[in-house]
Amino acid sequence: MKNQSIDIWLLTSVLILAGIGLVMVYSSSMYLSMNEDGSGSFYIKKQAIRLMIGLFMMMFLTKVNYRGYSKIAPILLVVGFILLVMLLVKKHVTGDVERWLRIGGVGFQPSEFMKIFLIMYLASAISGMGDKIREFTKGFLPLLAIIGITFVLVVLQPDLGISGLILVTGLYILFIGHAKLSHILLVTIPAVFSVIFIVNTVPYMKQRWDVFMHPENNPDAAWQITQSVIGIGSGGMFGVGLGNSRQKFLFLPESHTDFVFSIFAEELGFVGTVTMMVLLFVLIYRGFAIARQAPDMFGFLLASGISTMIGFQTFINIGVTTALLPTTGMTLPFISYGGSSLLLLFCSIGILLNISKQGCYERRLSQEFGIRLHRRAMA
Amino acid sequence: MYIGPCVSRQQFAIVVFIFMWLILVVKTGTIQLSGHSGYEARALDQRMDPMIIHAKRGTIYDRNGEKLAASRASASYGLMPRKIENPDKAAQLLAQATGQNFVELRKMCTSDKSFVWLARQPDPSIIKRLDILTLEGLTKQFEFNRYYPLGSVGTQIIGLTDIDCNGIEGCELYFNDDLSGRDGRSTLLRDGRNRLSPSLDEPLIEPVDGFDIKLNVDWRIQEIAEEELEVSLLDTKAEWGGAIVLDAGSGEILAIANVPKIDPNHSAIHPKKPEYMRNKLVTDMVEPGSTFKIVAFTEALDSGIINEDDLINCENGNYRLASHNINDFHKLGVVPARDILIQSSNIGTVKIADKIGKKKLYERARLMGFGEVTGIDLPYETPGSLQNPKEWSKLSLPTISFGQGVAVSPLQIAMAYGAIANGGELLTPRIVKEIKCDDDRSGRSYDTAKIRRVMKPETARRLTELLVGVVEEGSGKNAAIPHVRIAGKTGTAQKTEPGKVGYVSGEYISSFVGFVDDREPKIVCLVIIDNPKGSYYGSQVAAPVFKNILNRMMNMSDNPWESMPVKKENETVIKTVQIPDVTGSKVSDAVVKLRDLGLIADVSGDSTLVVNQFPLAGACVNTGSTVTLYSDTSTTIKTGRIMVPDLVGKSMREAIQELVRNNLDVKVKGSGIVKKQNPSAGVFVEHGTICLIACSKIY
Repeated sequence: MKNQSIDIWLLTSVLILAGIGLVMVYSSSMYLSMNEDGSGSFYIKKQAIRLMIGLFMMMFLTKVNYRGYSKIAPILLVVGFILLVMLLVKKHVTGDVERWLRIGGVGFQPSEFMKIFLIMYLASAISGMGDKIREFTKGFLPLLAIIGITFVLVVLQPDLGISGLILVTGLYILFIGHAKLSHILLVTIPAVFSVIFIVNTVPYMKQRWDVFMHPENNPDAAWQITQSVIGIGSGGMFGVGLGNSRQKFLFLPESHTDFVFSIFAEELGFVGTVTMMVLLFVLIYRGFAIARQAPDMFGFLLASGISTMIGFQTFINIGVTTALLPTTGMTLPFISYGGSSLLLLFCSIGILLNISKQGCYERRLSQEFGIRLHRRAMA
Repeated sequence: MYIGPCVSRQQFAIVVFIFMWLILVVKTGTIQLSGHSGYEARALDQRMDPMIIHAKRGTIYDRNGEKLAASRASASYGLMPRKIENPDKAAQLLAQATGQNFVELRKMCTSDKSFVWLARQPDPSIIKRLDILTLEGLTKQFEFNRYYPLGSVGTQIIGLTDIDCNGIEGCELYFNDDLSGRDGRSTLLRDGRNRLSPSLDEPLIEPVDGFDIKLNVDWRIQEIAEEELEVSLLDTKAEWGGAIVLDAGSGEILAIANVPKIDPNHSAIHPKKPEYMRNKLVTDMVEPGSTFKIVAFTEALDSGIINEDDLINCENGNYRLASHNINDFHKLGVVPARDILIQSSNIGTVKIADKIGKKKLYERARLMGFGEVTGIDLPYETPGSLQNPKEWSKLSLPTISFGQGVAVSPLQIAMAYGAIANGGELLTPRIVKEIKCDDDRSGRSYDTAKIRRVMKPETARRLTELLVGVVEEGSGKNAAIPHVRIAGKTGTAQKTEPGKVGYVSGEYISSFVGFVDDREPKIVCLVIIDNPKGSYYGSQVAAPVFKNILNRMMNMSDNPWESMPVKKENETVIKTVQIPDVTGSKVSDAVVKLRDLGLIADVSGDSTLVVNQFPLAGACVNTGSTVTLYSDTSTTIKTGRIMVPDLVGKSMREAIQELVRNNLDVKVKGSGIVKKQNPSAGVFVEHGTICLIACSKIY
């Protein structure tokens, strides 16, 4: 396997986004960092190190044959479940609602890992079961159960944002994996009701919903989203200029993490936001394109699942910062400050690049030898 | 399993994402493009904290450099309600400190504004209490406030400012733009935790201080005029008195006095403030009465229709014209025209006017400045009311000729007499000498401004002779000053009520206007007394005030004539007299009694009986000395002990005057404004006790 080419469009857009992310984390966290640390560069230093690790992981995984994930996917899923249960136990014991787990001095977010583990497992299972996916009890229901268990474990953390993302991404993989539409609709309807039920019973979620529907009645609770929209709006067409954000002076909480889009929109304006959205769309679109060129069904589903996840994550994050959706903790892919999220994203891109490489390789084989390998039936 | 159906489902997923992206673009576009200006305003509002740096308002000086109005920095307190965490507690603390209403304060503390005033320029006691209060959200700011070192002297000329230092009356209003200067600006940056830091990017605009103004007014003459009017008002129980002193040669106004007056430093709650602050001599019109007869005489002499010696029948004081009786106070028969003015005959003037005709009289009146503003630099000047001859009735010509049925401002009369005094030139009255500033910005100065020649020099000289006759042998005898050639004319007009036709029975306006003819500068002085009780003729009410004002001006050191004294009589008029005991008598009687002895009475207080006097009875003084009469029981008690007056805040000069007037000795430390005094105000002490006053120049 020599002289294979990887997807240049995907790689370019990822690198540009990561660069923008580094600049934005610096701009948005500087004043905060000065207030907490006195130096101004506390967050940017950490983010730069994570970016280096992420790039290294991406390069490494580009070399790793993605087919191996199919075999270890069940193990990874079990590991993911164990981590989530550990988090719940920790919460039960210490009363701590952190989404972090510390093992050997390194803190990480199990739910971020769970996203990719679940995608791998679903892709592996569907490609392995063939047409059985269209059977309800033997194909659809077990996969649904896995998605359901993951969802419940993440909801209990409690993290409605990522659990919702997991649920939607999971169902989307089932949809793309050619599950019966009637089956999907059959679970979508109760899923919607259960989400409504959860939102209405868990107090903090109910409050967020009230704030979303009636921000004027909850000025204090709506502070963050109000400030976010003020920031985006004051950017106008061309923005206030890089580094000139006013909202980052502690007006907008989480300005460097979940709400970094608001600072970006303020500093670079509508021109900047559209550019960023185009870059993110190119990334997702190339992911789907890679999926279609993948040599096998597992690669197809894995690439589609990763693209879907990044797509929904982007939509939810920007939707929240623009007050289109109720507030929930969700990072903006490649831009927001955050370790686990960034690391997992680069790993995902590494996987996508490996699939693209093999897809291209096998297509070239088919071109050279006239063998129709593309879109062949899989066992 | 075949991959085909999966690919079409994946393509559907891409379409869904395209749709989602469109939603995001539309949503962001809505916020960023159509909502931009509103959100930007909110972002700037919470980030930027504009701060005004007040410019110092210019000082107003009199012609000798005495401060009449000045600015000093004073503390004011404001609240930033958003910073107040516990409004109930804050309101309670503030209520204790300021004595303001708790409910109101609570409302202020919970207001959704970013800033509200709590107390602007409050009393020192409140400042002391607020300064020791530690309350988040309470801010202290320095503003300039205006004070008037000489109190009520010349207050209607100087005017007033509101609490924001915008002129609302007098020169403060008229020259507001010059005095104001330009406020500077600076911006503070606020962060999300309400901490402020100076802005480095926003330009700091330095404030530009206002120009200083030097008036032509001499505060000593102003004070003399006001005092003499006050005495006259006590005497005559008149409602209002006014006096104008000006230099006929240059048009410089030396004094414009309106009495009663109020102290502008403590005027905020005075019920009659708008009326007492008005410079009625400029803003109000009155019927002039006989002083207006000079218009007919000017026209008659200037055009040669009549000469001084032409005989005119004055009908023995009773003349019937168009079913209307015209009477004279001094009944005259056939007399030379000269006597008509000297004895102020209405009938004679009517006959002269008849020869002049409507048009000529009207044109001469207009020429002499009646019916148009004089152009003085003071607000709200009235042009008077002089109707066009086309609208005159049959009686208009005769009545206007002796000053009825025409309305003028007292200032117009003074300027017209000024024209006679200076040889026939009508000048613009000038209240301001120059506008200047400390740095190199150019100010401007005001020079003599001639409006036009209104009569031949020859006519002016002949009229002056007639007016000298009025004072020496006619109706103006009470204005005569020994050894000084005074020209002048009395006037007595019936009062009209604004908005009503006809005259108010029994109410008169007495006036006298005249000038010093034999000395340079030719000082014109006009005195007008509104609604005196008892005797109401200008000759009896206004003329003595004229005489007293000029007398005192001549006794002033460094008086206007000093540079050019024309006459020095060897025969000294000063003699020594013994002061009589006037305590217990009526103020008006006492004033007359002292005046007959050649002494000047200075009345302090406002009741009718004299309760004390200084110097005491029996003392021997020179004529022309001042005797202070105390008619106010509150300042002196019967034991003969003296209550120490409150001197803090007064100028050193004022304080010394007040102490001397109270027969107390004084020891001064420093100079400027009195900061401390010992004994303190309100304590009763023996005559001659030494009062220590500590003064400081820092306001």
